[in-house]
Amino acid sequence: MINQRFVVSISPHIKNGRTVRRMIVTTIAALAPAALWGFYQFGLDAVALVAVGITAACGTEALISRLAGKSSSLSDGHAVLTGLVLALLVPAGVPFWLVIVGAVMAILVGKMPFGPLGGAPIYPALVGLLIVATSWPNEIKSYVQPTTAPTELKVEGAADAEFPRDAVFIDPSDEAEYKTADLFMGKQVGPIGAISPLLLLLGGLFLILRRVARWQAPFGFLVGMGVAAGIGHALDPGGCASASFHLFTGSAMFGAFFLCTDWSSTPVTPWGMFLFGLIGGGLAVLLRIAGLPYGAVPWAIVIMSLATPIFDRITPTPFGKVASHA
Amino acid sequence: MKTLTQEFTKGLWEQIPPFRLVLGLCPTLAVTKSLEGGWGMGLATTFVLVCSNLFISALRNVIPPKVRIATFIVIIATFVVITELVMKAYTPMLSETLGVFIPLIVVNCIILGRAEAFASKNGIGRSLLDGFGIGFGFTLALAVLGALRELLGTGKLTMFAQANLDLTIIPLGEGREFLFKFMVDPPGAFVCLGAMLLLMNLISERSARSKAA
Amino acid sequence: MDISFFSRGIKLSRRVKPGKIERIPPPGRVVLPLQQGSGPPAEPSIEIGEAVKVGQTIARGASNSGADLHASISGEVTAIEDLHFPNGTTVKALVIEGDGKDTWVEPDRDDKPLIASPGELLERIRCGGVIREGSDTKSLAEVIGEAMSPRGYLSPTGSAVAKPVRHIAVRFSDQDPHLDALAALTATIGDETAELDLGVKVLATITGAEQIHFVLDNKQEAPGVDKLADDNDYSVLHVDAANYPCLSSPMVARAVSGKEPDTAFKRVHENGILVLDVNTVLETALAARDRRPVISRLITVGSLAGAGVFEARLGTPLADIASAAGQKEKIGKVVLGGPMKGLAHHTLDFPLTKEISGITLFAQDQVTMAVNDPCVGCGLCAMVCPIRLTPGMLSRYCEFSSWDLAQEAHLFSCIECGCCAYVCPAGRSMVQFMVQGKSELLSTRRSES
Repeated sequence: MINQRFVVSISPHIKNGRTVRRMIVTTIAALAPAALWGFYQFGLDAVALVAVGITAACGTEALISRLAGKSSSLSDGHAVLTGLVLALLVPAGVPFWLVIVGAVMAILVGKMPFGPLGGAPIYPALVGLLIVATSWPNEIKSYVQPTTAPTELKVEGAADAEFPRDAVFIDPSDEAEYKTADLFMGKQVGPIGAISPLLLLLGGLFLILRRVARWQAPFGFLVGMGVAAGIGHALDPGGCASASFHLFTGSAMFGAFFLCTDWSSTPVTPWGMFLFGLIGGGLAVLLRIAGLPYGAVPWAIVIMSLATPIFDRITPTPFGKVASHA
Repeated sequence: MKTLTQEFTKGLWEQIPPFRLVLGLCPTLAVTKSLEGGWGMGLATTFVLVCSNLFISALRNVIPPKVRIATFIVIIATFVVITELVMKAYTPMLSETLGVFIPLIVVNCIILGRAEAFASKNGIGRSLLDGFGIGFGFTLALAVLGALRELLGTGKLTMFAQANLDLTIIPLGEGREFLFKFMVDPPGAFVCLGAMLLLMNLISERSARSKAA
Repeated sequence: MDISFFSRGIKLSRRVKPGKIERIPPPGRVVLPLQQGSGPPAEPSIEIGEAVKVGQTIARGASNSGADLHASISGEVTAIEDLHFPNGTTVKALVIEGDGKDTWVEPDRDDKPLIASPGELLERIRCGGVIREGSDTKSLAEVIGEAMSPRGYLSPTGSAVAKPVRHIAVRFSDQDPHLDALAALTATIGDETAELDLGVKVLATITGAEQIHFVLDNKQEAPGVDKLADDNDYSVLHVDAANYPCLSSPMVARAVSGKEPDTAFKRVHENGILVLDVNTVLETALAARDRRPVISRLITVGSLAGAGVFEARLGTPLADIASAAGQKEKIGKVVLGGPMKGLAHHTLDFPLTKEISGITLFAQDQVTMAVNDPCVGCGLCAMVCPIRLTPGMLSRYCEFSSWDLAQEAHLFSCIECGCCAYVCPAGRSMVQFMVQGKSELLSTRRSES
């Protein structure tokens, strides 16, 4: 035993066993309830769209890895997550090819050019989503009447003049036509995976408890949206819906818990994360009111992602240092 | 010293402006929405480049070094104005497509770059050949980029709108204007340019490897 | 303002009940390196071939504050040999072949040590070979000296002024929750706190400390220690030692003084806060009263087979200790110290020194290798960093040799606790990057000046 050579490495010599793959699997698990609710509300079409999205994303990643002569990174599950998030953010009525193009673009343009996982400056699924949303603005709005929605929901004929344009095709001037409780419980029209604020909230809290995500960015995002919508509603009730309406519709909850908590495209410092969310939330409401035809929340988060390096500069004062505001 | 043929052909591959020199990217990104915009911009630039190379090369011994940039700009601007007026007169539709980017040829890095790096140091013959080479390379690159983007974006190829020489490669449904609108949007320009750069690098890497083997 | 509601650091599992201390019999041969802790090595004061008794001084501290070294078994000094340390240096070591009799030198007991002058007491600590453990293990006398007159602290007349130490904090539990030697020692003390009391008073006399703090794990029960603190008006602090690294010196210093000491370029004791382990205090008492030098150490031996606390003579081969602890499995990695901050060594053929607080043995299938994937930017490291740095960014700066950026991001504040590497999902060896960055910057600075 004396002459045996042992492994020498730097401390620490133990790890908590957390891997990238596990964290991604946790994220997918947190998304599962909202996705299942979407399947229930929109039927087999939604299931098929999600399957197509995941397959396309994984296929693209495998193909590019092969072409580039790199070892395949499929096993970390990020391609699955990208395809899943993309498919959950489109309405159930979109054509299949749209999801395929989106997933291919997400991996081809949003992820692979930036090297290994952790390089993407913008959430890859959002890149794919926004490419297809700007390319096919009419197809992307193929909303479907959910199974358990209140009958008076208006789906058909929702035009650009409707309000809030991105969120749901319910006219907020008819307050009686929707109930906040219905919206919260997921009885609304919207993207497949984003219609149930309740389940998304639970999934997000699960992520935070498992320490996969931090609370600051989602909290900031919800506060930002709430405050902005509250101010807007107080100033002009006809032009801006109430805060609860904004928070519970569209992809607001999805954005707060699953897009604002991405790794490489969001800040990592506490104040950085909070401000990222806060400004992003305000921006999302602004974009909804001031008129984007589709995807105010994704756009807001993409715009904020570009500013992530700036937010990352807001570091806390290190231990024992005197706070300086230089 | 390169042979005269090499002076010409280097601009077509070895130093093809937007891909190899990575110069003049503003017009490259802005006007390549269509094939027509691509070759139109390319030819306009070629004309200016050749003329300015000719004059700068001829005057290279009398231009004081301290004010050479200003002198270059005056010479280039002269030809840009000529180009602009001619295009407005004879190809009004193309002129409208290219818009402000024709006057902006004055500050195109390629022209100033060739003037500074080549024409002011070489004889008239070489400078002319260099101008033609680089200019045709630029035209080629812009035309390819424009064709790619237009084809993917709208399914059409606009050869020369004024003469109604459009080709519809991929027919679209009724009332649809775009095939894949992202490609003709500004971000699509970056993605296409990146893809072309990748392709260029890939090909030269492969050929270098096969040469070495 | 800090908006991280969740506490920083990491939660590690901790054995609640420390076992009994087992004594390992004096070995037949010991190897005593002349360097025990940082600083210049001691100078041998005996010749080869000389007979020595247990406790006899065999090497004198290098400076007037360096700790002496003593024979840990009786026998004959047979050689001075080279010994390779895990940090890569080579140090001379004295070899003593034992005679098996274990005869001690005559004790020179002083029953009233507190009457002695502070200077005399400090000299006794130095002669007793007491060292202070920590990230920078060195002679306790030297540490006290530094604490009392920091570099460059001069009176208006130009003479060095003794600066009083404000706080002395005594840890009753190991920094690394995987080690439990100190907890076991505390349990052994029980109600017999005379030596602890004496040690604290000696230190207070030397340093003029105003406040004494006892820092215990919140699961530790030590009525004797509590009573001693009560009688003398010392404060007792209970912390959750499982929340690593809350027992590290900077964290303890913050807990006792309410102020955060700067961790860059300045050691904690230079802020007037002396953080000591309980065994150091007991050794101080023995050195001051009985003039009994440090010849043995308490160490935790942790392995797959479980952990145990052992007392062994200095210079005992680690292989002997490991086999006494019942290590049977095939060993893949040997760590001197705890798994969080310990130093890996390539062999067990190394003597027990005063620096070693434990041995952690890993079986071959238990050894984790750093995979060093690229940073994914998840931010977990920034969440756990007790110093509130952004280790992910720092590691990237160091990975790509942007040393200046790393320094701007407060690289030197890093205490190398290893929390970031512990949680990193990409398996990056964060501490490696930090240490590399620091040494690069320091060597640049040295070559510039």
